[in-house]
Amino acid sequence: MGVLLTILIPLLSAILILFIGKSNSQKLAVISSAVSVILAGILTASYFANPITINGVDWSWVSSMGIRFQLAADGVSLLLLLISNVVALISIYVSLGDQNKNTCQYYALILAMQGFMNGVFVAQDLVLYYIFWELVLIPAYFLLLGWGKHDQIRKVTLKFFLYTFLGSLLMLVAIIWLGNYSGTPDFSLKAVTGLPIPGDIQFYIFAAFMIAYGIKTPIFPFHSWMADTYTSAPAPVTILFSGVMSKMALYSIFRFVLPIVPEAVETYGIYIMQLAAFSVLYASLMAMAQKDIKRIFAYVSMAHVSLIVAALMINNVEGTQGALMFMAVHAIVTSGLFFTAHILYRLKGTHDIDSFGGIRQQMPIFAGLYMVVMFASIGLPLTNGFIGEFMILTALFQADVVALVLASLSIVLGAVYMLMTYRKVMLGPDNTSGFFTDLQSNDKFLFWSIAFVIIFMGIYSTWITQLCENTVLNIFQP
Amino acid sequence: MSLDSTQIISLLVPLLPLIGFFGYFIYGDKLSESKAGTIASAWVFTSFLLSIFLFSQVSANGAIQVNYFDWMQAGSLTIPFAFQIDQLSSIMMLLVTGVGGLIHVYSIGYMHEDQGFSRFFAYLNLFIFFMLILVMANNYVLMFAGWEGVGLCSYLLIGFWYKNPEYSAAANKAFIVNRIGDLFMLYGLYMIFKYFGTFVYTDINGMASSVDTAAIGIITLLLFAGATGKSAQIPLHTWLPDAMAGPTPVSALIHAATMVTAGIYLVIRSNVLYALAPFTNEIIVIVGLATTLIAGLIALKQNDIKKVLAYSTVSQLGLMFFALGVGAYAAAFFHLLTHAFFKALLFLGAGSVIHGMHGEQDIRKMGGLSHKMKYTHLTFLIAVIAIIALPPLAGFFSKDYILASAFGKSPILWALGAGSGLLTAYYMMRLYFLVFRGNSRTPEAVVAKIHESPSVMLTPLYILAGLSAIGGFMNIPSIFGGGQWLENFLNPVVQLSELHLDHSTEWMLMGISTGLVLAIVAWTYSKYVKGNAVPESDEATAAMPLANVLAKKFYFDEIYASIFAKPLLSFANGLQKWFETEVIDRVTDGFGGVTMLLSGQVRKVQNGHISFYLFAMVLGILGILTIFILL
Amino acid sequence: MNDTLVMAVPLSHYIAVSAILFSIGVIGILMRRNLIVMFLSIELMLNSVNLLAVAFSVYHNDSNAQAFVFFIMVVAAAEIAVGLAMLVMIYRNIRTIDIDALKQLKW
Repeated sequence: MGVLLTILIPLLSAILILFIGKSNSQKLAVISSAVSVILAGILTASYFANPITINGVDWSWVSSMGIRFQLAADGVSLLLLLISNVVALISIYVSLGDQNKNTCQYYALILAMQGFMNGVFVAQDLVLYYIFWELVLIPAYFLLLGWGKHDQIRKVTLKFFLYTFLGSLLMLVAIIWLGNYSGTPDFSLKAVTGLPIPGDIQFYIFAAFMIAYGIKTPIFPFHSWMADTYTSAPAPVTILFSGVMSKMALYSIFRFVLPIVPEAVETYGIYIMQLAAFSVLYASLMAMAQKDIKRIFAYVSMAHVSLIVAALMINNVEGTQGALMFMAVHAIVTSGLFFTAHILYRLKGTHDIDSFGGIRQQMPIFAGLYMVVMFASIGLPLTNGFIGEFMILTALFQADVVALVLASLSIVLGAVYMLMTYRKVMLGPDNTSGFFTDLQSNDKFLFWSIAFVIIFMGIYSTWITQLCENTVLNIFQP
Repeated sequence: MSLDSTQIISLLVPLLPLIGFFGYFIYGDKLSESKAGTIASAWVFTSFLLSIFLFSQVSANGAIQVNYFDWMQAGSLTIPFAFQIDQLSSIMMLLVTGVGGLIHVYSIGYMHEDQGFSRFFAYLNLFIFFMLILVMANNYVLMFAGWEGVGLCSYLLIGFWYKNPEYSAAANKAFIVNRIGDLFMLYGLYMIFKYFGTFVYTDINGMASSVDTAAIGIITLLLFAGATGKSAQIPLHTWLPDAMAGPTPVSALIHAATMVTAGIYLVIRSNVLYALAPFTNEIIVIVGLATTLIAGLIALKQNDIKKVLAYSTVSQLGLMFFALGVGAYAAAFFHLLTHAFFKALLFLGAGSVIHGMHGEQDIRKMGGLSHKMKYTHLTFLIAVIAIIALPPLAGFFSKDYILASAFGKSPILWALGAGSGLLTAYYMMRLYFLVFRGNSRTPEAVVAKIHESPSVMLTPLYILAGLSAIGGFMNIPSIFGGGQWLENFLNPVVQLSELHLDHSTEWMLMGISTGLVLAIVAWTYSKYVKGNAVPESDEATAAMPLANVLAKKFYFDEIYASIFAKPLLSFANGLQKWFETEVIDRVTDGFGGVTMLLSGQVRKVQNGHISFYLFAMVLGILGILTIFILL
Repeated sequence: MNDTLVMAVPLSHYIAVSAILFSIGVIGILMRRNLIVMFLSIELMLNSVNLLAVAFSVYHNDSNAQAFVFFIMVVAAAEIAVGLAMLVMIYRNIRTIDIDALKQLKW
């Protein structure tokens, strides 16, 4: 029941929020997402106490086609639930400082998106999973269209929608094929896992899945929707997109691709790994060429998620654990980065790094916290960024040196562009000729919390690996 | 998890400075300068006292292993958060907290009335924390955490005066150049995991003999590449001179005494592996020698008091690597310690001069300061004598040990090492004479304001001067009837060197090098004091081709900028401009475009004319009928 | 008696006449631009089918078809009523009943 609640709480709040008026909507949104976080926390705690899969509901749904409404959460699902709900809370918290038009609808859409994303992480039936997956796209579409800032927001939104939708359709084909493989249609994850699929068909399913997830993640060369979307969406929405929506794809690779088509991963995974590693390098180079701070961070995010894809393709315990760790890391760090961009945007109404400079003098707290997030993103030890990166790259070295070299160059490049950006924006003489107050109440609290989590996870990280351990071992030692 | 007393004390050593760092966020700017400075120093001195205790434990009972929790764990990858306090690390702990504490005290005076006073101390505290993690870690990854952490602090402190864009550029450069080294070091770590399956020193040392020597060769080479970044060896040395943008106590602590010696520490720590990698050792000798000579040459033509000392540091570090390359680990470590004393002293003395001269750093505008700043002058002189290796001060013993070890390998190596010593003697005496002796070249207005530094700055100078004077007695060679205490103490970590020179040879080598150094002292004395020579202006230097090459530091910065930095940026920009927008975006939009194009053609059929639709319908029906009839 | 009267003309003649009528209707729809004339043509086509249905019903001795013809006529009448109403509305809106003026019916 608790698992079902993770979906229901945000969705019901989303409906309720439409009717209660602007002033209460913010409160309800915060309360609802806080409750979701607490709920995810309780579920996680109960899992630690008794590490077996938490079964949610299992209702017959479309029985003639073997589709069930089936929810459950194991360790990895719980990790993703935590990520999803925490990031949603951050996103709503960030929104509090903004004057948005149509406040009620805005929060309703965010909560709806949260609910659907939670659904993706706990669905145990492939069709149900697919439905949640596509449902996420609806609030995402309207959030981007209604609140995005771009000269051609319609074009950006259309591209985002169609591109990711195209990938999803390929996935749907694969899902339908899998569900009907055994003769009697059965779409439950259990039935689909471990099917004796012949090698060539494994390749097609692998390809269909990987294109879908490659687009959603995104990795090179499927990323062209990403920069515009992340840049033009309002920051809280960008936080949701990069923090959770990209995780949906990564989670799915872990949940479906690895166990369902293991032979294809064994054979062709190396190519995806190298592509993803190249994607890390490419995104880093792109980040270096940008002038728009949000766009820089968008490419930073792309570099990180590409690294996770590479890690998943290593196809062993260390790599997968590193990938899961880095998902949690990336969710926090990317939230911090886009929050930073958002604060800067509030100051001057622009994302152009050249129009900033010397901000540190007036905003020392912000400067310090931004620095913590920055160093987490370039993987300094004792921040969480290092943990994930180190685990992944160690595993990657054992798997493929070419991929390692491509991916690891971002260690240097990341430092180059992040420090250059920081220097241009925060350091130097004050040339902004404006008066800025340092972070206040809500923002300050949120930013301190993010920094705290970054350091905390950087020192004590093993709880995440323990949380995922059983699930991961199940895949590799069934 | 219950902790016994050793575990708690070991944990407190790095933790106390960290508390000091976080304390800044609580009391921060609310405290007065003297209180904030005192508290920050107190944390470090308490750590020092605890380190003394641990040192006594280690010397009585041998190495201590303390395990806290798993830092990372996944499958076969386990990285403990654990300390190994053995002979090597306990001495390093004493060095870090001791010299660090002194520099904290000194900074109370030096940073007086600076806007970021307490922030400065917070950074220093943080640095001590990371440096302690570096030396106390029991595995390579935790050491790497400290390694990167000190890089962070170096970044923060070089760019401490962040309003100056040049300083923050220097900070970025330091961090990025270090990162390049760190990248190779990470490769080394990944390889260690591949071949050893663990990162813990003791396990690796135990397995070393059974692992493929080619792999060990590559591992050691990669680790050494990491060390060249942190310890500013060619080709990654360019950041250190720029790092002088930071406040002078930072230069003393981080860029002379402790952080830059981390590379030496790393190699000594891994000496079991390096002993199995002869090829790497040859590379180290070459790099060390090249660095010590090139940096020494560059230092000859520098006119900024801190730049001279910076290149001197690079040169001395090169000498230490040279010693490591010839297998004289104890000698290198010995020199690391004595160098920490006298180089910290030199920097602090230089800081005292700069402080007294109100920010002037150009030695051409100094001169005759020995009367104005008696105590600074005296301590500086001791440090100079120590660094140019005149007996019986600290530098003599350590440098002599290195040279003797080099002679054991080959007389040519000895000659090159000794040549580096002569360069050192020349530029240090030049610096000393130009600053403290001869006629004053300072404008009258400034002369009146020159003052001796306050006692809070002088006291650390005295202590360091004392250490520079007697530090050499840690390891008196048998030729002087000494027992080589340091080398024997380190024996559990570092094997005793197999150096067997007969005493007459040793006397001869010592005599030659000391004699030559004395000759150089006499020469510089006649040139700069008797002859009152002053280095020419920058324009004059530019006219002299050879001198200009030295003054321009062999154009390393310019070369790197034109072959790495600029092409990288323009490549990224080009990629963005041509590939991302012209290819990726075009192709993606192209899919949409092609679809639109085709559908645009097809939809022309639907032109809206009802009569056309009717016509089409009739035609269709007739067509279908025809097909049915024909079939 | 009546049957024999109808049967005095061979079936092939009925088929030919209704085919001719139907073709006239089709051609009328295709050629004419006036909506009213097009309606007339539709009626012509409907009635040609009716004629054929009646003829067949007599020749096959099955009166069901004759009943259906009445249904068809009723439906046709209703259709004309709706159609003419639409026609009037179209005329009111665009002041013409020329079919070529109605070009909005696309995409």
